[in-house]
Amino acid sequence: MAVNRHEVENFLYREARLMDEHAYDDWLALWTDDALYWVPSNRDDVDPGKEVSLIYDDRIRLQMRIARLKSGVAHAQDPKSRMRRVLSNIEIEEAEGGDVIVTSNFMLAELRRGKHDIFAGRSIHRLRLYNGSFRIASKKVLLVNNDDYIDNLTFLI
Amino acid sequence: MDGVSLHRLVIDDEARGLFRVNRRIFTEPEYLEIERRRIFETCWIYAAHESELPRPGDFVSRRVAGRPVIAIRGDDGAVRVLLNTCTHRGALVCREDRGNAKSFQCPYHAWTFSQRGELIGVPGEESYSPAFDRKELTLGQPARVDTYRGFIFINFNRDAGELTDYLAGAKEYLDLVCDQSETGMKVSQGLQAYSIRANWKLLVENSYDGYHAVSAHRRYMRFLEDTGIDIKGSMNPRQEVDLGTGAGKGSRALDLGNGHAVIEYESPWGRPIAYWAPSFGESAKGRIEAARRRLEERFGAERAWRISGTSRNLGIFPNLVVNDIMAVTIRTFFPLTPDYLEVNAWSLAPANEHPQDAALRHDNFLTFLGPGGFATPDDIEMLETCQRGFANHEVEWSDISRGMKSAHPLMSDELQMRAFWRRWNELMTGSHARGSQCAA
Repeated sequence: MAVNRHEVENFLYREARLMDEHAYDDWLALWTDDALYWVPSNRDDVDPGKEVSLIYDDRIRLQMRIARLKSGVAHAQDPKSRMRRVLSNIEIEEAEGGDVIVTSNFMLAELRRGKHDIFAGRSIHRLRLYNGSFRIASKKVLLVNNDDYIDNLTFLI
Repeated sequence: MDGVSLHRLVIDDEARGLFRVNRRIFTEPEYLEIERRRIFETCWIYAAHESELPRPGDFVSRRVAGRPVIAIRGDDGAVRVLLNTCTHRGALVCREDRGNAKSFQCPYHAWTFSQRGELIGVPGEESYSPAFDRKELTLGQPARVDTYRGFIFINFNRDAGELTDYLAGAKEYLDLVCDQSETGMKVSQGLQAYSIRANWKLLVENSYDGYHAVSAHRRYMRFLEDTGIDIKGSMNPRQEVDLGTGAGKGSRALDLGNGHAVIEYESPWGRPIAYWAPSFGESAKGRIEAARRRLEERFGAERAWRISGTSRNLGIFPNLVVNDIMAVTIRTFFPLTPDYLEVNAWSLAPANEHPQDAALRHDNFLTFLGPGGFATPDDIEMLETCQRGFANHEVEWSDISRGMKSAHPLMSDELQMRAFWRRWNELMTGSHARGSQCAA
């Protein structure tokens, strides 16, 4: 199957908007049951079994993350971050099993309680077709500042 | 004089059971200047862990107490700490976070220093006068370096007492952490680095604050409840923990001397060391129970229970936290300004841990801890809102009185913070706050 670049881009743009707008349930619905959501700490290429990450969520912890954000007592997102991000530099390759590996750069402006931060990085999505539309099987986010002091990573990145 | 009043920073009114801390010590830059000299340059400060330096030549370089330093294991096996600044003109001689080195060459003019800090190479040395003496240009070192059970500490005061005396009652609690493993404890490579826009002493208080757990971390506690754990019975008890048998639920708080303190409590969460919880799954049960039996063979039932079944949040004065909770975290921090601090947090684990236990440990660690975890960000938020609240300088005092009249202080009391504050006040002012009274 030839990958339709337009469909891949639209999927990523939609995911970005759901994250920016804290559309937690809609965002969670994008993921497969064997999901992996990973933000390494210190550098891009760590062994998550041996080294601490910033985020390393399987489906269960991803659900916990969303349940927490919706609970009304996730203090670090009260008030919520205001966010807008742009995606670019999208590269697409087909992987085994019909999956699609999409790498893209993002630039995220985040404002919370008077502090304006810029987060930038490269995301590596593994997308899988499910009933005719994409789902995220895994997403690894390589933050430019994963080796620096980060105060709050409780929004969706 | 230091230009600011050191009078009545802490009120320690034992007779009435009231303890207050003046909020200007969280906000005024003058107090941070005094803290740098009277606390961070006189106390033993945690720098690194020996397991980060397994082989000769292994080094880590990082900021400790605001200074760039290098901790290196020499070819003779000894661990040394070097001040990371060239004795020529000041450049960092080491710019890597970690690695293995026979020597360090300054990138600026290529002066070269040995693993012991000796100046062993100076390009064009013939241009210097006969008075030029390499021996005077050895890399600086902290006045003292010492190690306790793998924890490497430095002290900038040559006249400081011995580390083991300094650690006082905290030694026993480091022992409880280190005795988890027959093969030694190892710091996992990599760390979580996070920043907080608040005063560093607020993180000290927060790191062993058992009172806030059920309120600030309500959602995390719900997750534990959802996995079948009885939180109400264990996290906010009004009874002492029975450390002998593990029967009953409870906790205690202890002043360990020299400003160190600990809270100790029956674990409301599973601990991969030897304390199974439903969330670990049935498949892990046999392995974890076998580990518990080995601990019992080594230490007897009582100590095995303390090591495995109880958790402890240990604060070693002034800025080292060893929280032996759902995972073990070593946390150290330093203020850059009165309202900003940076935290380095590592995971400590048995050196030979089974990969599946290591995975459980990482799960536990990341679920609770760090800037993307489910609890640390809420702590950060609480500390930052405290700091914002302090702008109301009309409200002068914070209250740290909880449990002051109790014969058996619990984790949800504030004895542990009072232990810190009393020592802090002694070092800052040279006098005791005991007996000072609140204005009626």
